[in-house]
Amino acid sequence: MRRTLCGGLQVTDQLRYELSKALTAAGIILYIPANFLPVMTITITGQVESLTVMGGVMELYNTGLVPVAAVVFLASIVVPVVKLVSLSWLLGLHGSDIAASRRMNVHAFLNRIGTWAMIDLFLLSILVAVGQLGILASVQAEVGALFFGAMIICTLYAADIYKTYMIWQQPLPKSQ
Amino acid sequence: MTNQHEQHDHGVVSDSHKRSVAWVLIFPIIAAAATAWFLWTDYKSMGPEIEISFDEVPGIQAGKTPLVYRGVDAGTVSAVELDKNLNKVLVKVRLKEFAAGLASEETDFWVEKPVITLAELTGLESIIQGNSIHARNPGGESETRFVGLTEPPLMPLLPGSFTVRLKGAQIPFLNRGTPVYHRGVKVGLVREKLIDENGTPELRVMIEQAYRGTLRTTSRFWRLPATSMKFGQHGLKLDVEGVDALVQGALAFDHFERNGMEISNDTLLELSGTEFAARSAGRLLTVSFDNARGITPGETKVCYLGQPIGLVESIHPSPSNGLILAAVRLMPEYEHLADTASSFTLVRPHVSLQGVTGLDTLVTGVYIELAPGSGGTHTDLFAGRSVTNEEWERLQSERQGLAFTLSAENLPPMGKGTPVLYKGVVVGSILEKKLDERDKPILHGIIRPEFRNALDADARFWRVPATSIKAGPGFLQFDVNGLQGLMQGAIAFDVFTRRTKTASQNSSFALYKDEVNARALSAPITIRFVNSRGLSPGQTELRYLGVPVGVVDGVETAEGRVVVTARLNQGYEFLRREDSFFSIVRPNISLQGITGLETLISGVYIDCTPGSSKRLADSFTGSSTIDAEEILQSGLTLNLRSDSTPINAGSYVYYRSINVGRVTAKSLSSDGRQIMLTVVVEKKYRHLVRANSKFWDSSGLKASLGFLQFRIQTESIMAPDGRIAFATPDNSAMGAAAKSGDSFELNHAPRPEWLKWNPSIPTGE
Repeated sequence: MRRTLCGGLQVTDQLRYELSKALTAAGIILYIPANFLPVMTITITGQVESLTVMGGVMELYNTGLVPVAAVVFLASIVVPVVKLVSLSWLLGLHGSDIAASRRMNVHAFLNRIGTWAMIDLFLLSILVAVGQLGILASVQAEVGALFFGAMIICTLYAADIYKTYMIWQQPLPKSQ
Repeated sequence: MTNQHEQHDHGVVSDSHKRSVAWVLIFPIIAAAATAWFLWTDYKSMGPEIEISFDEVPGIQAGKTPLVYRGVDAGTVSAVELDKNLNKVLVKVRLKEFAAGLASEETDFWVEKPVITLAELTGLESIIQGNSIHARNPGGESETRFVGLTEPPLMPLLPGSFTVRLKGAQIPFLNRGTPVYHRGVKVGLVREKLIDENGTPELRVMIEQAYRGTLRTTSRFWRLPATSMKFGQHGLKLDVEGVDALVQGALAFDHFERNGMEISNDTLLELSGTEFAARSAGRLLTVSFDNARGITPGETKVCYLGQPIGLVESIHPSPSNGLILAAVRLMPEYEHLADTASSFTLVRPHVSLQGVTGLDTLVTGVYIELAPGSGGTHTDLFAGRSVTNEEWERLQSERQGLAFTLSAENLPPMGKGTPVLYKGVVVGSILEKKLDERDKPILHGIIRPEFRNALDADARFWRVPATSIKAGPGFLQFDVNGLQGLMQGAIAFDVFTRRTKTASQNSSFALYKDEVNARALSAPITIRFVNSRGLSPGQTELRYLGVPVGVVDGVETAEGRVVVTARLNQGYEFLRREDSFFSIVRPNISLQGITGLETLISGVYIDCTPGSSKRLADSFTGSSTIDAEEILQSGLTLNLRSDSTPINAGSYVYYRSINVGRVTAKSLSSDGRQIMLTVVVEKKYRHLVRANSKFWDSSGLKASLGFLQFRIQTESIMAPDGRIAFATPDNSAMGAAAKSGDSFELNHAPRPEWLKWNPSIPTGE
C-alpha cells in the first residue's frame, strides 16, 4: 500500500499514522486559542462586543434563538471536542485489537460529522459579509476564527488521513 | 526499530521512515508557535493601565467603551469601579501601546456625551456610537491616576485663541458653546457663563486666533435671536439665523465706528439685546416727558423722518419735577441732529378706523420723532412732548383749514376722520359728529387749506357708501371706495351749478343721501298714481330715455291715490311741461315674455315722456303698466282633472303651439281620486276655450309610428315641467264659451281628430 506523493514522498501507513497524530496534536493546541480568543466583534450602535465561540452560542441563546444556539453549540463546541477526544482515542489504540470494531464505527462517524464544525465559520463569514451597516452595526472577524478554522482543518485531515483499515493492522512487534 | 524486521504488507516501520515522518511534527509546532506569537503580540500591544476618577460615567462599560484621542481608538475601559466612599467612579483604561504617552500628568479626560445643543456638534457621534471617554492635551510627567473633567473642554485643539468678557443687563438663553458670529462668519463661541462679584452676568467669549483682527475696542456685541419675526409694511418676515443658532440663539458683533484699536485678551465689552441697540451707541441723551405711556426701554425707537436712528435705553421718573426721563442713545452718525433747537415728540398710535397714519405705530408701538432744528447748541437734556398722530394732524388742519357744518336727517355710522372727497380727491375730513340744538345730527368738517377754494357756497354734499353695487341690463358695477371707504364710507361734494363764490368759514350744508339726490336741484313736482307699489323715496329714479333725470322724494297717499313728490335734475325742466307723461315701469312678467327686466335689479323707475306744451306744471297724473299678476287675475281660470300627471304648476298652456296660459296650481281633488290642475288662460285668449274643448298633456318627446307616416312631436324641450295643449271643436260642436271655474278632463294624449279641428272662434263676449 504505497503511494507516491509529490516530491517522491512515499505515503506509507506509518506516515499516515504519524501525520494523523501530529494534526490531532496541532488541533488540540489550536483548540485553546480558538475557544478563548474572540472569533468576532459585533458593533451595534457603538456597543462593541467581542464574542468567543461559546459567547456566540450564549448570545444566540439569550436572543431567543434556542434551536440555532443548539445547532451552533453542537457543531462548534461538541463536535470539535468529540473529534479531538475520539481521534486521540483512535490513535492511542492504534495497533492494538481493543474494541477494533467499535473504533471502526467511531471513525466512520468522525468522517461523517467532520465538516459540521465548519458551520460556525460559515455563519461568521456570512455575518461579516452582510453585517456592514456603517456606524450603526458592523461585524468583524477576529483572530479566534482563524485558530478555530485551523483547528477544524487539522481535525478534518487527521480523521481523513487515518484510514479505516489501519484499525485492523497487527500491532508491531516490539523491538527488543 | 531495525531494517531486518520482516516487512509487512501494511505498514513499514524503519529508521529511515521514522526519520522521514518526523517532519509531521511541524504541524503541532506551528500551531503552538502561532498561538504563542499571537498571545505575545497581544500582550505587547497593551500599554499602561491608567485610572481616571469621575463624578459619574453614564454609558461607560468595562471591556467595551473606547478611549478616544484625536478620533483614534487609543484604549479600552477595562474596569469601572466605585471608590471606597462611593463618591467617585474609578475608570480603569488599558491604553494601547502607541497611546502610552497619554498617561502623562497634563492630559484631560472627559466623558463625551451627546450634547443637545446643536451649536456644538462634538457630541453628536456619541448619540449613535454611545458615550466614550476622550482625552486631550497630553504632556508632562508620566502619570497613571487622573481626575476627569466634568464637561467637555471647549478649547480647540490648536492653541492661540483669546477671550473677551461681555457684560449686559441680561444674558438670556446663552450657554456654553453658543456660537459667535462676525458678519455671518462663525468666529468663536461662548466659553463660560458666570456671575461676577457684582452680581452682573458675564460671558466669556472665545474668539479664534484667525479672527482676532475683527475685534476692536469699539466692537459691539448683540444677541441674535434664534428666530425673529418682523411685522411691517412689507408683511411678515421670519428670519432663522441658521440651524445651529436655531436652538439657543447666537451672538454677533461688529463695529460701527471707524476708530477703535485692536483688542487685548480679557477686554470687557458690552452686550446689547438687539443689533439695533448695539448700533445705537451714541452718547446718552435724556428726554423728559410728562407721560411716558407706551415707551418700552430697549424697544421704543427714535425716528428721524421715519427712519429709526436711536433707541430708548431706560426710563425712570425724575425725582425733582415728576416728569419721566427717558435715556436715549442715538446712532453715532445721527448724534449731531440732537441739539437745543431739535424737538422730541412721542407719537402714539391712534386706534381708529380712519387713522391710517397711525397704523404703523399699531404694529411698531410708539416712537419718538426727532425733529432737528437749526442753530441749536450742544445739549444732552431735552423736553419731549407727546401727541397722537391724529391730534397732530388736526392741530395742523384747524390752524389753516376751512371748517364747515353738514346737517342731515340721519347719519350712517360715520365717525371722526371720515374723509371728504372732491372729485375723488381727499380734501378734508370730518372732525366731529354731534347733535345740534334741535337734535338733528350735524357733522363738523374741515377742508385742508390747499383745497379751500374747491368748496363753493352752492356745493352739495352727499354720502359715498362704503361699497356700492350698480346693476342694470348689460352692466354690473361694483365700487369699493378704497380701503378707508370700505370701512366707513366717505362724504363727497361737488358743485353742480355755476360756481358763485367760495364758501366762507363755518358754512352750513345739507348732506344728501347719495349723489342722485344731491344732483336733483329743481323744485319738486308731484305725480299721482293709482298704485305706488315699488316706489321708494330717495331710491326710485325718474328716467328720460333711460337716463336718470331725477329722483322720487316722497310717496304719500291722498284722495285714494298716491302722490309722488319728485325732483328733476338740472337741465331737465322740459319734462315739466303740463302734458308730459309719467309712468311707473315695473318688472313686467307677462305670459309672453318679460319686459322691464332691468327693473328687477335696479328697482322700479318712473319713465318720463315730455309733452309738447309750452306751459310748465308741477302736478301730473301718472300711469302704471300692467304687470303679470294683473294679467293672470283677469284671465280665465279652469280646472283640469287627471288621474295622474307629471305636469306641475308653472307649466304653460298652448293653443296651436301658442302660449295662452299657465298652470298656477296642482292639487288633489277633494275626494282624493284625481289631480286637479288650476289653469289660467290669458284674458285675450279666453274665448278660445269652449265647453267642448279638449285638453291633453303634450309633454315630452312623442313619436308615433303610423302605417304611412312618421311623426315626432317635440313640444317640451323648452318646458321641462310639461305642457298642456288644448283644441276646440269646429264651430258647430264647440259649445258655449267656458267660464271661470269650469272643469275639464286632462287627457294623456290627443286623439288624431282633435289635431285637425280648425274652428273659427268669435271673440264675442
